[in-house]
Amino acid sequence: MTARTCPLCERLRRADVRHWGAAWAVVTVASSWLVGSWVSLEPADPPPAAEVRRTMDVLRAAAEGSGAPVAPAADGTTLHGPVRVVLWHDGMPVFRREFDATTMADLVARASKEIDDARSAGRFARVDMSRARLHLSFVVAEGPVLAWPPLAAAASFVTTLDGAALRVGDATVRLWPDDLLRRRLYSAFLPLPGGVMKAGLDVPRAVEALWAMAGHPDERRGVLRRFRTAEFVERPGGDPEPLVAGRVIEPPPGSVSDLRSAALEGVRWLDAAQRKDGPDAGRFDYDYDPISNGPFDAGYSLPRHGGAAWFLAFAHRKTGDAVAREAAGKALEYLAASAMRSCGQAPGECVGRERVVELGSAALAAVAMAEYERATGEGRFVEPLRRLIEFIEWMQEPSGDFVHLYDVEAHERLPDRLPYYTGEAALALVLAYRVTGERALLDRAHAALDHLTKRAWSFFGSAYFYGEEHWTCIAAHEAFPEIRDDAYLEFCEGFARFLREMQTAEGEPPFGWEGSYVVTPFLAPRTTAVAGRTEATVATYKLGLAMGRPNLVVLEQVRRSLTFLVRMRYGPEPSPLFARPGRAAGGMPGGLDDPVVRIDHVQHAGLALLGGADVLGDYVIEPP
Amino acid sequence: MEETNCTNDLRQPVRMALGAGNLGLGIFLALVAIATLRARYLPVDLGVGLVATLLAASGAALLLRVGPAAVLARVASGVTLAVGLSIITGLIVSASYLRGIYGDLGRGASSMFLLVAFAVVPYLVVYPVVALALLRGRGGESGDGGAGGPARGVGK
Repeated sequence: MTARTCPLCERLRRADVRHWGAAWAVVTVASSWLVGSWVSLEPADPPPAAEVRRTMDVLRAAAEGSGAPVAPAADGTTLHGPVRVVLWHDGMPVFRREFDATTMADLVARASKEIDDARSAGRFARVDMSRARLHLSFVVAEGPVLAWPPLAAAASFVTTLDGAALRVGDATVRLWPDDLLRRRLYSAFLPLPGGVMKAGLDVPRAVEALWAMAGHPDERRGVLRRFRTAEFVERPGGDPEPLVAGRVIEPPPGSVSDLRSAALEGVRWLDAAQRKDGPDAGRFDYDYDPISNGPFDAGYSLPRHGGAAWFLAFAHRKTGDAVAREAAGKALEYLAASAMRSCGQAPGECVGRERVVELGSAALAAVAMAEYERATGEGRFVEPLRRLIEFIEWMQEPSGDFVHLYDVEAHERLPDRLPYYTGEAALALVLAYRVTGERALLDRAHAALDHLTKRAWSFFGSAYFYGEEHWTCIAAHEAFPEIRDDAYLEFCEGFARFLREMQTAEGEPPFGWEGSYVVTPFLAPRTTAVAGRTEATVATYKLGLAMGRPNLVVLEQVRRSLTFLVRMRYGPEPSPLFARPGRAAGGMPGGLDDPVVRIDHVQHAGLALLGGADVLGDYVIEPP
Repeated sequence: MEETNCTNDLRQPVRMALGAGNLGLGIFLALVAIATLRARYLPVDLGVGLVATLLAASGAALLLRVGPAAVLARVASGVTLAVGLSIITGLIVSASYLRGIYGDLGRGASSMFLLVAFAVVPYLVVYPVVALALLRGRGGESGDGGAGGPARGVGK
């Protein structure tokens, strides 16, 4: 038998080729290991909570001048880095100092003396100590980062967890995580697709601030570093609360009643944000920035107003809460009286005063009115609902899809597309059917759902990813049993499966909380993305259950995300950085890097929590 | 043991294939740099420009049977391979850096690194390795590894 050899293969097998290849592999593996080891942080254990509490007791005594400071009993604990001591009063730091103490005893001695000196100098004369809170930040790890190129530097700080430090000679100046948050330097560098959000630390601005803090020692070279902290805030009568990104993380839920309570706190927040009289009665304050204690965005979104009204009506239907009913009614009166109008030559009425009106505004107003009528049976919004539905029907195409924008003056349906609107319109038709019983609405909803789940999502590669389909799945569930289609459940379970690929597990770095949806650790988890998607997974589970195919994997997915939402919502005293903590309480921030509460954050979270409470029941909801 | 004479048989096809391949790859890389990289960044532009020019020039030289075509092709393949391996090393080191920072890369970032690696490997690693092997003399006859030696297996 004759052996055949391949000259090309022989050449590739030559010793020098193998040696060069091996050398490259060794260099690559070794350098990647070295680089990874160089930048990874191994945080030290923070001091025990009991010792932090004793330290705070001593420092409070010094601040109040209520007796000679007493060193804590266990004072030998070694500190692994500098400690910052801040005394907050109504969101303002009335005392702030960093200490390079080596032990807790050393810290207590030096900090209490400085605080005592500050008190003696009259710095706390106007401070109401019952409202003031001590905040201790321990540096537990510090390490190098690339300061160049800017993109690498921006990605070198874990959003909301890492502080930025500049070492100049023997001195180090620091921007602590809450400093970076207050200066809005997190998630502020690289614009993301869509143009609304950014990622990465704004390192140029951070370095500029650090140089200013260092006193511009231009003759010396600064070295940029990152550091990790363990932080605690005083809690009257109890152990100190750990802080993350300057805020308290709430405990996970222990039962479904915790989920309902969290949702009802959202109802209270929306109710407090609603104007009760005047020309804008029923309108909400669109958002609230607890750090600046004022609004964040001057704009207003009518679709989000409708969404908030829907949540309030839904909360009333689910819990019987009277505040929710009252606030929902007022929000809908505002829509009917101030935002609905005749839309030129289009039939019915639309929502919005601009020349171009949006389908989503009308759809969510109709959803909210239908939900209110389902919950109360009052009948006062049935006629406005019918007029909105007339317009929505007119915006529907023969394919089942919808036109999203309408130019009232030109009487022209515009071709531009916006996210969510087709799903919102489908839900509006379904819920309107539930109120009016008009079968034609169901047929139109059927066509819309067929379009969304079949025709619009049938192309090469469509099995591998999904858009934001929460409205689609909510509508598919609401349409059951009159519209029963296995394809809808398959579509929504596919969407849930796609989302599970992004869902975090408990302890997963860098943030460590289960239930958020993130594709990369470069971005801090966002609450609305979790809440909206959980509305969809709740609807998917309910639909499967109703069709005799309950999917416990989806149920577990729901549990995880609701745990995340409960942890993220603002509790009664969410942060010492907030001037009016009570105004933020019950609200839902945009995320760890976005402290602003907006009406739709509360709406989506509330709907997810109440829907989740329906399906979780006796399911064990504690984290594993 | 009988050795096939495929190398001799493929002299002309190899020359034509490498010529077309180098020319096409050079043009392709230049277009990628111009069309998809909106920002101009000198290290990248210079690197891509050098590789694209070398590949295109060597490809044209091979197709036109210009005298030093084989030498130019070896240089082009060597430089392309060096750039390709540097990119792979850079990707692995970058991933390791980010993993060190975040503790985990996450599925999105991991997929992105893999996609870039898979996009680079065929053109900037596999192709130049095969080209260098074809351009090299059989059995170590021109195995000095230098770019200046005569390349057997490529018609002149």
